[in-house]
Amino acid sequence: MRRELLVPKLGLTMSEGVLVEWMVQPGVAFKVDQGLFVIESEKAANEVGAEADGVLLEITAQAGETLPCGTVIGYWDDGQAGVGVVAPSAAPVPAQTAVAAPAAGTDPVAVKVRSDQRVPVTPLARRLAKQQGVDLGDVTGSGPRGRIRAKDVLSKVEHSALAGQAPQAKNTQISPSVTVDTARTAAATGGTLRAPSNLERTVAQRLTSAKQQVPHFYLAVEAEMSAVLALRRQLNEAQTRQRLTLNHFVLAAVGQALEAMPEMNRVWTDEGILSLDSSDVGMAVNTDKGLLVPVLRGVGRQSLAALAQQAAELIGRAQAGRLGSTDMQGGAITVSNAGMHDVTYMTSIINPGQSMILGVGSIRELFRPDENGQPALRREMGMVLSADHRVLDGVSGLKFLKLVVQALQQPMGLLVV
Amino acid sequence: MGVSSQEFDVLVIGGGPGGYVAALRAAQLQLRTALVERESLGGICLNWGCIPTKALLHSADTLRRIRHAGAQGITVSEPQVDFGKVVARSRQVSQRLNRGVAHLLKKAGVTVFMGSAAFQPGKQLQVTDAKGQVQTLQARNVLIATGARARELPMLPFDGDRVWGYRDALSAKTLPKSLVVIGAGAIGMEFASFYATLGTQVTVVEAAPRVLPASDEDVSAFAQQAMAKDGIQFLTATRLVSGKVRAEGLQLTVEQEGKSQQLQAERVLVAVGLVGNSEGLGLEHTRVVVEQGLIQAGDWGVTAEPGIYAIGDITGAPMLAHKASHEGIAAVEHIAGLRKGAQHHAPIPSCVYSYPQSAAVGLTEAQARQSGTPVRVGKFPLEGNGKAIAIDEAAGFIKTVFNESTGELMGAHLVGPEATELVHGYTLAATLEATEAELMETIFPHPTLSEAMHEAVLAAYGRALHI
Repeated sequence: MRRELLVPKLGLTMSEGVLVEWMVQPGVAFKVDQGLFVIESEKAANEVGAEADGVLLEITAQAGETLPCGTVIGYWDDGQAGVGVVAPSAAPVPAQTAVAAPAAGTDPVAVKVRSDQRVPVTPLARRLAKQQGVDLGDVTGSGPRGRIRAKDVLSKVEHSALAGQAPQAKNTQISPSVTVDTARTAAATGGTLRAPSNLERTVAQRLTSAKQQVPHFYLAVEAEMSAVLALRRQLNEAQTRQRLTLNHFVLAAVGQALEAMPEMNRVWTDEGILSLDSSDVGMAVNTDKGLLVPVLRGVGRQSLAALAQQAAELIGRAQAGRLGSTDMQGGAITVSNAGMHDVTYMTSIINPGQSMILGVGSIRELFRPDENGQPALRREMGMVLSADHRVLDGVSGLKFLKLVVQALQQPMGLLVV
Repeated sequence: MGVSSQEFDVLVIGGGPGGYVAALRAAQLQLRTALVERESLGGICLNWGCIPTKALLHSADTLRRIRHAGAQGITVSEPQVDFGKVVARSRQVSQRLNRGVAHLLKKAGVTVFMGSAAFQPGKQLQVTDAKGQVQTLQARNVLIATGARARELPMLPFDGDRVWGYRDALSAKTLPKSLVVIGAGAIGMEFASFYATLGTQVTVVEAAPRVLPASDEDVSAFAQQAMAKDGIQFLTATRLVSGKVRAEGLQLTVEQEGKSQQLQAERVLVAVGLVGNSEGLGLEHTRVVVEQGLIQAGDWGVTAEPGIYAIGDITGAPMLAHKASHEGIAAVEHIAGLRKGAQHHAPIPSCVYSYPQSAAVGLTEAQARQSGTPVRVGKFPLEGNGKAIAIDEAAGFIKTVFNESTGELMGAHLVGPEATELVHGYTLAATLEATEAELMETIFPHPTLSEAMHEAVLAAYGRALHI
């Protein structure tokens, strides 16, 4: 039976998505759960799997198109008898032929012949493809006569994995005015020019769009961290089950501040201002596949130990490349801690789909005059809150930030939830 | 001083195994090709390296077999070594092949200039021959394949008499009574093996904790033990502190774990690595980047200067003739537009022709484990191989290292008879990306040493049969 393929709605705030790539060509059979195409939402690129075994009949949208949720992008045959949906009148014929492989057309029989052609593949590449669930039809071989080698499969896997986990923003073109004439620059300086990968291009577009389209404002403060350091030491000495890090305290402080000021927990969407119910906080995690932002749930209502456990679990999955798209959804704020990198202040770009990001710096020892004008040793940690001025303002932002500082300077409160 | 000017599509500097092979391939592709060589066609490999040492080691092998002939039921009188003839035959082999290269280049239509090439400002090349005649050449593409030479120790400079480099060791007039070899890499071990077999008292000094430091640790241990049994003394983790050349011989001071030791020897062979031949090429007139004597080259041999390529030893380790040839061909095919994109780097085998021989391709077991990949290791001793026993050469083993999850052949290590002739089997398998399944399925001829290669694969999966 002929069935439709639709752009799925992958998150609360998702209204449209970018069709990144087709993973299956028309005429090719697929198995249940096999990836059919990749859709990029604001948050992440997601591989959309088949709901049942079938054959892709035709595709009516091309890679690169931005499409509202629910748009028909292609048709497939589930192999069941029955009356299928009619062919879409909206899908223009030229688009179909343009998308399908040359000489393949949309005739499933003709395409079958093509897909049955023997692709030379090394034994190792074949095994890797099977292990990693890569369709060899999607892999371009770099060996003699187009032979697919192990590295071709691995680079396909890497590319798909990256596309599935990159920090995301809405897809907009980089304005030509901000790009540099790189060809000329390279010629003048003797540098080398290379094309960015699809992932690099996507990330570049998203960061550019986030920085250009979200009206950021910034608030910088210092928190005196001696009390947190002392408390952390005591807690870590008292128990060895879950080692507490400074970041756990910062996350907890942000969670409590969100519970205290629920009006801060909101984001701008194209449909309106969305208030969030749960004090979810994103946590920037550096992985070898780039910066990922899994979101911790209900941070302001959790014990420090439960929070640390949740964080450890998410970090583990982020580093193993096993974060699902739901792991990165939600939350109005992200904590990005660069304290280990010896930096005083970090001014971050708001994670698309959120309204705040807290850049956390290193702890600095310095003397400040106490109430008697005598030098007193302080251990200060710089924090910069970047906030979206469409939903937040400076006064409330400062109040929020003060709550975070207060929680860190009197950290006993973090133990009582 | 005559000045002429000619233009070529490809001009190769250096007629070694990298350069002359690249020139042959360029001529095959109908490119107007020239080659500049300052000394001898065939380079170090053919004249002072790979080939003549194999001739010497063959003489040593013959001697060893004659000595052991009794065990095979053949009685011979005590063999006599005519050292002059041994060396002369080695030189003849080189000369014959040198003429062969000249003939090949001529047949292919490569214009050969004997002389030293140097870049001039404006990408012209000047070639100065032995008589001081200068010619100016123009080329669209220049391929630098000038190779490398023996590294000299400042405290013990080569003198061609007491202090040898490999050239001196290849052309000695008399067999030394005693020889200290500094450096237990492939070159040091091969000469140690040759001279020891002929009757020289050989001591090998190596700064690393083991001989053949680049080899798999099991291979290093086996080779050292076997060669020590043949009378070679090994001092590993030992540094040369000083060396004095005296009329009666050499006095060397070495230090092992803080303890000093004096070594006396008639000659010393310094084999502590190679340095690139990047001087005198006029590279300062180009944008080519030279670091520590080595030209920095990327895929296809491209350098920082468009139109200038570099391949082989001059671009760094591993300094192997077959690597240079392969790179030379790849660079020329890239110049001709046949190959584009990223270069695929095929696994490079390495061989040591001492007795016992050893050979390897890919990662050592330690390197494979360090990569963090779960591995499977198989080891098969030649005592389990019928052919090895039949030819009275059952000492040695073959080891394979597989990626446990994918079955990729990560490395293979052979030590024993004909190891260098066997390693290509694994190299081919690795290049074709065969997994353990294809290697297990392959039928190896019986009775051959190669069956041990099959068994070493089976052993990695607990399935070896003759053990």
